[in-house]
Amino acid sequence: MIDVNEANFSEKVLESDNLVMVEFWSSWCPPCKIMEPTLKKLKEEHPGITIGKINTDRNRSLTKKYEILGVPTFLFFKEGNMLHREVSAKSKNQLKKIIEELR
Amino acid sequence: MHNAEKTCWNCPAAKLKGNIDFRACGQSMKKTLDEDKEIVIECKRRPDLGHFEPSITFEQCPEWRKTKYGYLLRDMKVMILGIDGYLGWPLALKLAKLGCKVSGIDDYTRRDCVMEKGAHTIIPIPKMTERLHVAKEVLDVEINFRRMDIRDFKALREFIEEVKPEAIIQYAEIPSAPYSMVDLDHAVEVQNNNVLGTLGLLWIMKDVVPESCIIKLGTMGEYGAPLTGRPLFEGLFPSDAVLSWDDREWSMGGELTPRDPVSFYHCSKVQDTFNVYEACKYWWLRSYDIMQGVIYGVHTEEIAQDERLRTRFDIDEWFGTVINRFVSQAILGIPLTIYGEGEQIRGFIALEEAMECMVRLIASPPEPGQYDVVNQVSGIYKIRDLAETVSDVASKEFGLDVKIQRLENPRVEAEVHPLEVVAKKLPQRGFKPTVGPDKEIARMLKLLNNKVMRKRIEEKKYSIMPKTTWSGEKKDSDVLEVYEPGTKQKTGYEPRFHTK
Repeated sequence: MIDVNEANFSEKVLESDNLVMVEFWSSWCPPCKIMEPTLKKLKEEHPGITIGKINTDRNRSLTKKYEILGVPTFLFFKEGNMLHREVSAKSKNQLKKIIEELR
Repeated sequence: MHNAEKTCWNCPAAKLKGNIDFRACGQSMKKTLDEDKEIVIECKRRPDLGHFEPSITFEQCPEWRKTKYGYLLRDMKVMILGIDGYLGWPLALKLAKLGCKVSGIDDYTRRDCVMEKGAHTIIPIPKMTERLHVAKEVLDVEINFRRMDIRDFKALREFIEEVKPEAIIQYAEIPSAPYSMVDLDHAVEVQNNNVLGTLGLLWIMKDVVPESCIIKLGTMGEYGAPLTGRPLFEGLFPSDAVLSWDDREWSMGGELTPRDPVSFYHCSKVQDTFNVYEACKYWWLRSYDIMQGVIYGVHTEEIAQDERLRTRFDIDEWFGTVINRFVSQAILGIPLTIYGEGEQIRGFIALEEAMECMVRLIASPPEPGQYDVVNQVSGIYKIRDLAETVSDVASKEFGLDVKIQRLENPRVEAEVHPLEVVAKKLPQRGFKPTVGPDKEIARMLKLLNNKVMRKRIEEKKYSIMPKTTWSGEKKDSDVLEVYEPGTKQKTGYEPRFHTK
């Protein structure tokens, strides 16, 4: 999983050749903290996608730009375009389904 | 080192500056969207560095130094509430020996409660003034002690303002299920002391030391023992847990798992859980809620160095934990008392292991606003199996003749049930169980199986038998059966334990 921030967002997300899923998260949000093993498993099962995490408290410009109103929020990008938005904790199957639809 | 990669973000010496907002998950942040200011920190220990990104790791920071329990903040200021207790005192000595600046409060509630029962600690303990003197003499450590009730919020605030602790250990609760079931007055006192004491502490921390970590002692008993056998996760559901209903599915990840307390004492712990959880959410406090298993034992490296440094050891029905009671009964030749079927399964941890776990957690603070939960157990066992273990060690290594008796259960609880416990977070912080019941039971017998201690147990043996019932009746429990160890077939459920 990639730690995405203001500095590497363009390179890691917008310019990526892969389908990219980024999670906007915060340290004070229990559902966000708990998503980590699910994201790791997803990455193992779908090595062809890029999964990143953006800490909202430490990346305010990105949080503002993408109008993140609550955490966790998952954004899906392909070829520099944002394709889909999901808010709140999701099960692995729910995320898998979205990934398969977007690929 | 388990905490090498943690950063200023976790450090209690880092004061957060800049754009901090207090929101719940899913709560709009429109108000702060107009501002682009990032969060930076100011190091309270190195204010000359100015404001900077919270990205220095513990491994890189000169304020954090290596110990055998991970990196530990140099001269870390740790305050122990309930420092005179069974756990508070050994933890104080361990931390002080590791170079922490230890302070603490106590109003001797535990001593008073045990005296109220007409019992005493089997291992004699000196008054606090002498304890502090001996700690200095033997271990060359100084501990800053104030006698006070945790509910004296004015005094507590003043002490916290004076010390500015970087971690606060909340042990100042009355830790007894039966004590809370004696009558109305006892139930009210337990809930008043435990719930309001912790609530007051949270408000004071918010005002005075919001960066400090609160490590609060809870209990595995908060979860109960669900008959469905669903696993007892570490406080919060894992991300792959889902709720299915009406052909739809929702993630339960991050939500608090169900609590099913088994006494008014356990209810106080559950209320604490919610109060701490909310305080983290509203004010960005950071917390470990320790769901500790049943504690037992007499040994830590520090308290073993001088008999005057030993911690208390209670055996009465209110404050004696089960293995400690069994060992005392084995010494006197009283059949070990198990309640009902004895098929109750519980999590356990030896005193020495519990103290190590606490140090590892102090060394590894959560992030701002993070409410984290740790199941602090090193093994899970059936009560009747533990009676067998005590019998085995006592007879083989000490030549004692031990029997086991089943009593009418004074509690309202399942006597035959499955139990599956998840306890992965402490192993992730480098903890490996090294003691276990056999070893600690042998240590207890070695320390207590002598003329002086036997006399002290003999004097208070009447206090072991349960007289406090959950039904409110005041009566002795009937003896259902007395049997020889090793004569019972294995029945019921096998405990299941996940550490990886």
